[in-house]
Amino acid sequence: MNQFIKETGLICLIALFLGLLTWSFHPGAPDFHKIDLEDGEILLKTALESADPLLWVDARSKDNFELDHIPGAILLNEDDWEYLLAEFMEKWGPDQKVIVYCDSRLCRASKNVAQRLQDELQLNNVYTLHGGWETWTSEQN
Amino acid sequence: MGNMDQRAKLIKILFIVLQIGMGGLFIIAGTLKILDPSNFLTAIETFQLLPYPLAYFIAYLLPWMEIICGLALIFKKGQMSALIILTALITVFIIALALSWGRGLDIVCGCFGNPGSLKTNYPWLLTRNFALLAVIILILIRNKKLCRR
Repeated sequence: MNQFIKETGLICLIALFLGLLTWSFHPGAPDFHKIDLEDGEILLKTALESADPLLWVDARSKDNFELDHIPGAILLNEDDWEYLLAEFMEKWGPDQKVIVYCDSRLCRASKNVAQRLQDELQLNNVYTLHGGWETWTSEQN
Repeated sequence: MGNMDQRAKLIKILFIVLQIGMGGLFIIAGTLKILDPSNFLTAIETFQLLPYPLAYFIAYLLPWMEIICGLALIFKKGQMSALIILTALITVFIIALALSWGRGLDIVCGCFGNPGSLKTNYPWLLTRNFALLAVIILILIRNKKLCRR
């Protein structure tokens, strides 16, 4: 039993030490609370300051969209893709910057929708909103 | 008697292969995570279970735990501790997966690096982790029996 506790403690200690080294020297180590924009992500401030006309796309569920959404946003999620895509095409113009959002920084729906818009419609001007709906609501408050 | 010996030998070889295989798997999983800690931190955060400082700490600690446990299994040093740590880690991960599924979250597993923007396949992730857990527990029981002899 004693041996087991010693070994477990040793494994944890070595892991802790190596983790500390990684944190200190790894070039890709994330800073504590630093905003890291992923590929194709845009900050709300940057989006609002953009000179291009914006088309907000809500990739959340229909229920959440109906509850509240960014003014002028249209619903486009993967649950009802074919039907909603037709609606999107009616609103979309080639000069517009499309910004897709979902619930928060951690959801994947906006990235999936943005990817499909790029792959299926060959749209280039498509971004995902960093922080999503959560950021929008906190900025409004 | 000869048949019994042969069977015991086969089982022994099978467990050696399983143990080395498991060790290798965890070394690969840990290495892929440590190569991109930023991505792994995001993966932990998608579960929305831990406060950010704790997620940040785990993003650096967990991959090394996996690598060290994997090495312990391959080199048979501290393997009982490694097996128990891995059992605990996988169990916690299965609970986290089940909770996230229940909450309807779109999580990123982060198990083997960045999976891209695929939709979360919970049944597959759970099946895979239950299978891993079963193998680890089998090795653990076998090693415990050998230790008692």
